[in-house]
Amino acid sequence: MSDIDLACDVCIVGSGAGGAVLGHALTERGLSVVMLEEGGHYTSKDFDMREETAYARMYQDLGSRTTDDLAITLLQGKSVGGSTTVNWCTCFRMPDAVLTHWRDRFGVRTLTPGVLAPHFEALEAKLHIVQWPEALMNANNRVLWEGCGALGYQRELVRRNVHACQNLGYCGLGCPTDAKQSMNVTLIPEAVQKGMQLFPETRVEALEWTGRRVTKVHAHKLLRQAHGAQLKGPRMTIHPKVTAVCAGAVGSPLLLLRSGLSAQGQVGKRMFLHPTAVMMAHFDRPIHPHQGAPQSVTSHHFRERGTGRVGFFMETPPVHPLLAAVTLPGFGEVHQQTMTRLPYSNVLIALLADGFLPQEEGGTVALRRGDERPSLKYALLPEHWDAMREACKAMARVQFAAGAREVRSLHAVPVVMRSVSDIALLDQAPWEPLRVRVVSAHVMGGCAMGSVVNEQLRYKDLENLFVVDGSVFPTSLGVNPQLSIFGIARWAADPVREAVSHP
Amino acid sequence: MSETFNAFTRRSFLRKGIFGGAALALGSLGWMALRPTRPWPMPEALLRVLSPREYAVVMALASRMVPERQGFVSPGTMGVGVRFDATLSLLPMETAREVKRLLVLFDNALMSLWSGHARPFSQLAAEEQDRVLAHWRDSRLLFRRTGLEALRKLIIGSYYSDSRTWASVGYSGPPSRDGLIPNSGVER
Repeated sequence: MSDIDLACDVCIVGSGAGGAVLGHALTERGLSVVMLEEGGHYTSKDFDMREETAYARMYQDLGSRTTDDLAITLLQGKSVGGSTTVNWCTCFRMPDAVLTHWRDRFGVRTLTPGVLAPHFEALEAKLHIVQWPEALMNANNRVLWEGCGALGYQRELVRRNVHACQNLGYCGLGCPTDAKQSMNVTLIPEAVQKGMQLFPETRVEALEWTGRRVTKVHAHKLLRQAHGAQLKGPRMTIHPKVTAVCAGAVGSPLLLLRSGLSAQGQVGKRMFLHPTAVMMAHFDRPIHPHQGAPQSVTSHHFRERGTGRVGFFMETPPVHPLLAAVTLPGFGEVHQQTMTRLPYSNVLIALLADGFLPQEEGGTVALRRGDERPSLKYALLPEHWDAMREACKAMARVQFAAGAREVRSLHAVPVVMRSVSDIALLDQAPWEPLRVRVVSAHVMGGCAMGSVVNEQLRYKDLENLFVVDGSVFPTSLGVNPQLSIFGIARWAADPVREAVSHP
Repeated sequence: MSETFNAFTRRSFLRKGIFGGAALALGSLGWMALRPTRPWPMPEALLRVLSPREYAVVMALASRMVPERQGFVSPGTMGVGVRFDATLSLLPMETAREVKRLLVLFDNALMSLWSGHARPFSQLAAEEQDRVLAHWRDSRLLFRRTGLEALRKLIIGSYYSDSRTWASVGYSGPPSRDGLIPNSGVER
């Protein structure tokens, strides 16, 4: 017997980009929706723009989630709104070429640019997704803009989901003015107003299923102790007609595995990360890379690098001191000296479009025996290291073209370059795990379309279980995934509703 | 160093990763583990997770990873060990347990043998400690690089999560909330 028992049309596990859009769309259609979210519910009043507060409250594992070998750091959100609450507002539609690849290689025929277009249009209007004006570009992004311009590299302004933005630069710590049109201030409050029941700080343990149907969702409330740790509280049991797992590309496969659902061993496979290389440059002029809209320029000049090679795209991150300190390699005086130069530093990132080569099987998400922590593995292939090296060289060229005095790689022993001719030093640098920093803020896959869910995003072996988030992508996207997840979640509302109406 | 020890550590760590390996228990095995950790004055705050010995290893590491120098407050003044302990208390119990074992392992004199010393890390002079850290960083063995990275992130993160570091790195801190007016954006 549980402390809380609820029946509903649809139980949604997770309130991020997938769950929130789906919950909103289903509530608008008149369905009763219960949404369960493991993280807390915070509003702009809680967002104090301090890193130590934000990472502890709103990021998975206090912002320190990593692969098992610690070689790749993964930034993932954990609160109402999921990663949309703390991301950097970058919006791209799912690229047509990716949909074509999925059709040809994985047989995904339902998702086409034409099918998704009306969903993207509606969401772009609703969430104020427009191009950020060049005049408001911060100095950090201007390095990428001007460097690409000088070199003739493709460059474009990013579209952002903001309304009345004050260009502060604290998007990653929660927007203090509600300008960011993240799910916690847009679709979730609207859905709640229309009847959706939201339960934050609620951890879903497992789905109970019989035959081909999920019958119960077992969860418990989390109780926060004075020093911040959480304990299990009252138990909850949801009795839904349909369940939608929207817990993200780590959380969703883990929940399926905890529920004994492995899709013949395919759950947790094909995890892709956009493995990301980082380069730092020092300038004579102030950059103040924490100030201003964090990500307003992108370059996809190297997205296609030829047969058998992994492409990449370049962007900028916001550079706040705590995240910079742990991301910069090394320790001691050298590390301290680099930190003192932050106000004059630019940082560029290059994100690898992984999952498109036949030999790329991706990483894995798995349970550990006797341990609640996920096991995350991702082996970088020679093709990835080739792309990392070339990406670092491209970023260095951009930084020098924009006037950098010195460029440094994020190797454990950094490669220091003082002119363009020094860039060749990167060819001699070690390209191995934990000898050079690799990060990721885009975890995708794990419940891939074609192997775990069908083309309607329904779990293949059950009639009333859907997975609706970035975990269903069979490859990475080659663009920031937020808007693509919004789009497929809005599209998926129809098959989910259909499953409620015609069980 | 015995071949048995070498083979066991490599096999276990590489297969399971530093946070999955029972090999962390090695930190408390072997006669060299009996060599004492250099004590460190205990903080006033009650430690939730770390033992006095583990706390001393954290402070020994912190004194080299974020050394006191002009413009940088000492890790002792900053309370790095207490923050490290507080962070561990929020992480899964299994992670905290592994970090504790890793600290003991790191200070095991056996580990210092790689860099030519037969004393625990905490007992070494500053220059010797820097050499040990460089050996872990540059090791051909992934488990040593992983182990160092785990401790490095926790210590550097504990240090820079204190706003007293902002002045050291030229960070003015977040803007005052008083000046923030909702719906008064600049983009339109």
